[in-house]
Amino acid sequence: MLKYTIRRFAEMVFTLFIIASATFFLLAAVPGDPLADRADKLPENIRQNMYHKYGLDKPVLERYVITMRGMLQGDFGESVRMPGYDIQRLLSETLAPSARLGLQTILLGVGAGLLLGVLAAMCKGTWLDHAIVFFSVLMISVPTLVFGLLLQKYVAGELGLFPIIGWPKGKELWLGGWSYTVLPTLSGCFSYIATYSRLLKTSMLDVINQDYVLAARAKGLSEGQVVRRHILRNSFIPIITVLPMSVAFALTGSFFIEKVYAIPGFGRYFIEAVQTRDLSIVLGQTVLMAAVYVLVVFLVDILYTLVDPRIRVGGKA
Amino acid sequence: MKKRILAFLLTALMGLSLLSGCGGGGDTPADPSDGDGGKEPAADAQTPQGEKLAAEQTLQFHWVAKDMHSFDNNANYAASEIQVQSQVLEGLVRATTDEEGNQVMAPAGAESWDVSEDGLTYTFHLREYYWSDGVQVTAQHFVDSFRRLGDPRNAFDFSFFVGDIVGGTELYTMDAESATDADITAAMEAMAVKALDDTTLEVTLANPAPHFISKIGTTFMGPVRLDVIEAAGELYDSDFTTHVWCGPFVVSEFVKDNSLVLTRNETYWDAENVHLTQVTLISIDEVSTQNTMFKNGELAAIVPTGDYVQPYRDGLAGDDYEYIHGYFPGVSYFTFNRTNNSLSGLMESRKIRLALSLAINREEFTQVIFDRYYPGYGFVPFGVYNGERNYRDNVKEPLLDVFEEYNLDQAKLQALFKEGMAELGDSRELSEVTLTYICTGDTAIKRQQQEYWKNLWETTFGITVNVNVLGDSALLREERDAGRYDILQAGWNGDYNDPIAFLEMWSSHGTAIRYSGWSAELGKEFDKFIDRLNAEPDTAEREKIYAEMEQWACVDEVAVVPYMYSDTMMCVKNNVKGMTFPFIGPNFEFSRAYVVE
Repeated sequence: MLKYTIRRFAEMVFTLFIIASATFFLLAAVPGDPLADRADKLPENIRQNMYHKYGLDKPVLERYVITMRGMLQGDFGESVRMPGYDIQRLLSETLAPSARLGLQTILLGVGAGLLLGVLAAMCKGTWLDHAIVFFSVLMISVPTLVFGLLLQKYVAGELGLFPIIGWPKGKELWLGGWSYTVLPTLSGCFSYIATYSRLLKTSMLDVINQDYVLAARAKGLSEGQVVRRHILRNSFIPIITVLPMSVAFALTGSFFIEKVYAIPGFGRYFIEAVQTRDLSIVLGQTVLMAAVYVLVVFLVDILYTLVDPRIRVGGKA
Repeated sequence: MKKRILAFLLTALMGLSLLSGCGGGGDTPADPSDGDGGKEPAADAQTPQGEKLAAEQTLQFHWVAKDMHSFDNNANYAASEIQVQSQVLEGLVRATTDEEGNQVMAPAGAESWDVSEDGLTYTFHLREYYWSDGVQVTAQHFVDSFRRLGDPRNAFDFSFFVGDIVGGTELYTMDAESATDADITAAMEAMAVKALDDTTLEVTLANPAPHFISKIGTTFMGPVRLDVIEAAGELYDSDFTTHVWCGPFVVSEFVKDNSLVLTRNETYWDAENVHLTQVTLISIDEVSTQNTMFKNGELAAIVPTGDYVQPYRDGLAGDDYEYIHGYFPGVSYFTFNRTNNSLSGLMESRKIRLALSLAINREEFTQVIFDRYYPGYGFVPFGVYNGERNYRDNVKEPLLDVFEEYNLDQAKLQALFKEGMAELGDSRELSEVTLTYICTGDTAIKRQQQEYWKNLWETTFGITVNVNVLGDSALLREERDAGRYDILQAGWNGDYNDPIAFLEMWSSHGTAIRYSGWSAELGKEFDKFIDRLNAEPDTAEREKIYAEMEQWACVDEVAVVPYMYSDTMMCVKNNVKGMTFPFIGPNFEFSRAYVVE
């Protein structure tokens, strides 16, 4: 197990290096730079001094070496668009709202999704099953943005039940200010409900027809015991594959929901940093997400063994 | 200044209304000298007009938070930054509007100023006023600001604003890479800005520049405290708690890329006329959300855009707001590829350029495509002042006469185009000619425009117009800089209030050289006007030179095809009084605003 972990860790570092390098050169190859729009209409001398100030007048390879050397020391560099900010400071100021929103969304969305999935599987072919499938398809087809705007306009605007925009801050950052979080959480959870209910239902239907379920029933176990011990546990493999990734992405923010409800989260930077070619932020985000991804894959491998003893790591079958 | 952010958008049309400042307005500005005089408005406090002040004096506005890049006023370049700085910083003068909605630079940090007869020496007499930490604002703080603004190592966007001052151009145009620190320091000290004593600031200009007051009223030229900057170190840009303030408000809360809260500055010299106790600026990205909040009374004002323009203008969105429509210092135009051999090889012909310009039915375009904005027959929009003189009121738009002469007559326009081709020795039929027009944008409104121009020139001349829509501004720049086009669409917004803020771009060091297909060689011809202007302090005489410049750019040389002036549109709740909307400056000047019941 230790050998396996070390090998995976080494792979992870190598992967991150390749990803960071690829991001750097791709961004360098794309037309435009963080100053281009801003400097396009400035007098030539100012433009040149500005490029010099940010080191963007240096050759690409030199910039690559500088960037990589900084990254090794954990320094991704200062943002050009946001002076005074590097990726660490940006995360420290904006990740908390995103993480809370993500957690609430995942808890509600995945919780409700799994419950509906079990119901649909157990009541297969009934009106309940059809209703759940119908609403799942509906929920997954409607973009989050639309849910967000509709809930905002009618529930907050017309009925005035919740604030139109805003997010808890200060002492209420993690607990409290719940009324602000209701609509954003609802808007975001629909797609999880849809995804997880359908995933679990399909997986359960697969398992229900397995011989060992028939055997469990044959040896006289109650229906509850069959479902809990044999069907559900075995149906969880696909969920475990997908869930950690959902959590990782949910925690780092939702672009649309944060935009609609003016939540000061991290989600917007995934788009804006690329649009403005803000290299240090893009690199920071890419490396962060890649690290999270690699880590999650690793965790998932370990989790498999806990859920399903048939899966083993380290080659000892 | 703040309009520059818009200018970056390449098409002046995109987002104009989002960031627009304002010209005309029906709102009556509060006279700073009246007011109720109390620090906290009493429950029964009344305004000079006899209205009852509301108990709660707070307002909320939509504001593009992501453009609040820095709290360093010298470093600012975006509308959002100017909006904030204009309310927390007291420069020498303050941009506001008079009863007619015309821009006024009102005495602020400076009680008064004298201008020498040759128009070269400005002496500002500062009032006694203080920073929020109790230190007096002195003339030296302005000297430090101007030097810092011009320092080439800082490479501030608006460093060229020191260019009017003796030694200013020499300073900001230094090459930061090759110049030594000692050279730069020497140049900074050589710039003719002097603190004669704590409250007297003397600035000597290299050439007469009646617009200098308009520049000095910008937040970039507001005072700075070097001791505060040094103490703040790297946090000066991003951490508002390291700052001190001297304006009507102080920043009390800031959530990055989200919101900013201003509270009344009790130490402000005119605090008794500042009624609002708190103003919240918050980023509401979705226009439908803005609309919901304005209707609910959670926003004091809204700048209607897109589908919301018509209901707000026509009064269909309620009756509790005032609709304000006015001029905006922005112009939309076409230019031609004059630096490289244009794709068609035809853009060298003045007659062809003129024909393309005269084919445009500017009234129809603004009406059909936008149902707003103003048809533009000149390069200087309505509402721009030259000193005390309203330029457009005095100078007829240069394209009007020649437009009338051709009057959209297809045969005459085609003949003009053919003549141009003949002069270039091109004997092709019109149907064999292809022109390439580059632009960005795939929104519905942009596609309509692209179709309109293509259709217009194709049907008028019988030529083929190739519209090359590029994915974003970076791709457009690539095509542009490689010279793969004939016609380019662009927009320009004045950074300060003077015709030269528009016209200067056609000089040999002007921004049109990179930005609008122009070349330094062509610009040299224009420089003869600049030289005359630099020797002329009298605004009436300068007006004549400006008129010649505009005539040259639009008709004699056809450097540019202006077709539309921007406008500004906003709606303000009826219970909010005393707001002004400077033509150039912050979108909302609310330092003397108040809420009535």
